Formats: sequence, C-alpha cells, structure tokens
Amino acid sequence: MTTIQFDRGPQKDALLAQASKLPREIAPPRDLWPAIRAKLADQAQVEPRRINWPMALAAGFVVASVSALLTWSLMRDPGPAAGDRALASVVATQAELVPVNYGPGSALGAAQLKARDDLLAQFRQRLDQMPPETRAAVIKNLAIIQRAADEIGAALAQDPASGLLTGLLLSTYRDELKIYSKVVTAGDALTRRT
Amino acid sequence: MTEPAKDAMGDEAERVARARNGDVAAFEGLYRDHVGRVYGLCLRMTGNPATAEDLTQDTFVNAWRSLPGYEGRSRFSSWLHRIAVNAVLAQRRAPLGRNEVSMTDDEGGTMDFAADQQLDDATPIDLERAISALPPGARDIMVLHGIYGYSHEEAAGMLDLAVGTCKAQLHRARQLMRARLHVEQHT
Repeated sequence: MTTIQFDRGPQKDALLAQASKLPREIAPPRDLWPAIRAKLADQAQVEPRRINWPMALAAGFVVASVSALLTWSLMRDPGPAAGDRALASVVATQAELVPVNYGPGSALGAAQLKARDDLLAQFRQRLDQMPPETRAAVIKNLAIIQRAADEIGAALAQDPASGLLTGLLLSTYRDELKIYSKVVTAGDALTRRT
Repeated sequence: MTEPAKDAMGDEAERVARARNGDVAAFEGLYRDHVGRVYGLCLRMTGNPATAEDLTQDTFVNAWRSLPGYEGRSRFSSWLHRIAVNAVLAQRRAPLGRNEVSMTDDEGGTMDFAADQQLDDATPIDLERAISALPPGARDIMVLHGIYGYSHEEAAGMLDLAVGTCKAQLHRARQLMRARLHVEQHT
C-alpha cells in the first residue's frame, strides 16, 4: 500500500516557505473603528452561562421525523382532498407559525435571513394545504428548532470562537430551510395529484 | 489610522481585562493592534475586500459581546482569529454566500465553485494571486497554515475539520498553486 505524505513540513516546501513570508497584516482601506464603535453601543456584553447540549443537538433529529411525516402524507390516499384542505385551513388559523429567530449574535447575515424569508413565503402557502396532523407536526418541530437555536445562540454569544457551535447553528439554519423546502415540494406534489 | 500609545494602554492582558469591564477605549486599543491581521485573514479567505471589511467588523463586534466569556486560555489573537474564521465560514456556507466564494461541504471538500475565478490584477504578488485562485477548502488551510502559521491541529479546530482533511487540502493547494505558478511563468 502506498502512503501519500501530505505533510512534508514547511521547511521542505519552498511554496510554504514563501507563503510564510507573506505579510500577515493587511490594513483595511478605511478605518473600520467608527462603524464598530457605533455597533458596540447596541451590544450588551454576554455573561457566560451553561449550554443545554441535548437541546442544541436535538435539532438534527427533527428533520428526519418531519421528512418521514411528509413522505407518509404524500404516500397515503389523498381521500376527499377538498375536505381535508378545508379542515387544514381551519387548523391553520388556530396555530400561529413563527419562523425561527436566531438572535443578533448568530453570525447569520441579512442575506441568509432574506433567503429564509423568501422560502418562508412559499412555505406558508403550501403548509395550508397540508393535512392538519402534518401541519401540527411541522409547527411543533419548528418550535424544537427554535429552542435549539436559542441554546446554541446563547452559547455562541459567549464563545463565538467555537467552530463546533457555529457548525451546529448553521446546521440548525439548514434544517429549518429543509423543513420549508420539503413542505413546498410536498405541497407541489399534492397539487399535482388533485 | 492612529495607533494608541501602548504605554498609556498598558499591556494586552490589561486591555483585555479593562475591555471585559466595558472599557471601550481599551477595546479600541485591541482593535488597533489586531485589525491588520483580522482583515488580512478575512480578505485572503474571502477574496473580496468589501466582504472582508464586513466580516472584520462582525469579528470585533462579536468579540466585544463575548469578552466576558474569554478566559485567557488561548492567546487573544488566536481567539480573535477563530471568531473571524467562524464569521467567514458562516457567511460562506449560507445559501446566498456564493457570489464571492465557493461552498465547501462539511468535510471542507469543494462542492462547486466559480469556474472563472476572477483575480484582482492589482494584486502585486504572484503567490497571493495563486492563493486567491484556490478553491475555498484548499485556500483556507493555505491561509491559516501557510501564511498565519497555525498547525494542522489548530487549523482543523478552527475549520471544524479532521486533521487529515486539512492535510489533504494543503496537499491539493500546493499542487494547484504549483500548476498555476508554472503556467504564469511560462506565458
């Protein structure tokens, strides 16, 4: 078996030796401090607290359960679709759908949240077409994701240097988008069937 | 950009302690000392000056908010760099972060990236241009390990990757850079 030696050490590699001589400091084209200073006024410093890891990790399990439920909804006999949808609409008015709030320290930018909101608009339309039990499950699972996002966000506010927490939060964000996407896709399929 | 008098600001540990207690002037001193490296890191990882400015701002704002949780177990500069790397990765992995840089999968492998990587003609150093043309996964490790001197273990921790993945990405980076530099030298 041939072993590829990835790491030959910088002293043996001219390219790495040259790279190590590049200046590590690059001055930004303008002074960024005034803008940072202005933002600090709105930022309270966060006192450390313990993270609820089980809740933070729970979001990863949510998508699979929602996915299975949506698949089941699509596979079963649609039955009296109009009646189901009418009932679904009634239920839809009873439970308020709240998108996940990631908080100010989440490192998610405006572009990411806009992408979510664009998908959310389609999701809201399609969710009303889902059977009541599917809709209830989706809303319940979004609430679980919200709790996970809260826990991760709180921990990340204390430790923004944590790659693990950043990865978890981004996974949570992607999980939320997956749920929306699956509902939109399932809604499209239901529309085609009826 | 004015450099605060270090005698007046005291050493870094003192400034960190003061900033933790809400002393904005002390935090400005930390900013002045570290902004060049943070901006350089963000610029090299994103390849986009405007994005690098935004991420540099985000890094210092996040650091300010989180200073009470900084326990001094790592160097302040390393802590700050990890925040910067996280900001870059968060920006990159988002669905709309693809106009500036490529996306990487969870292991750091390239999923896809702009085929026609635009190089900044004003960049004076061939090596810098070769680094900026790398796909993100390879570029990240070349920047952190090659330029900023972090070990594979440290870089892997920053990027939330396996050490072996980092080494493989560095191997790939070197191959791509050698090929590019060879082409440039012969054209």
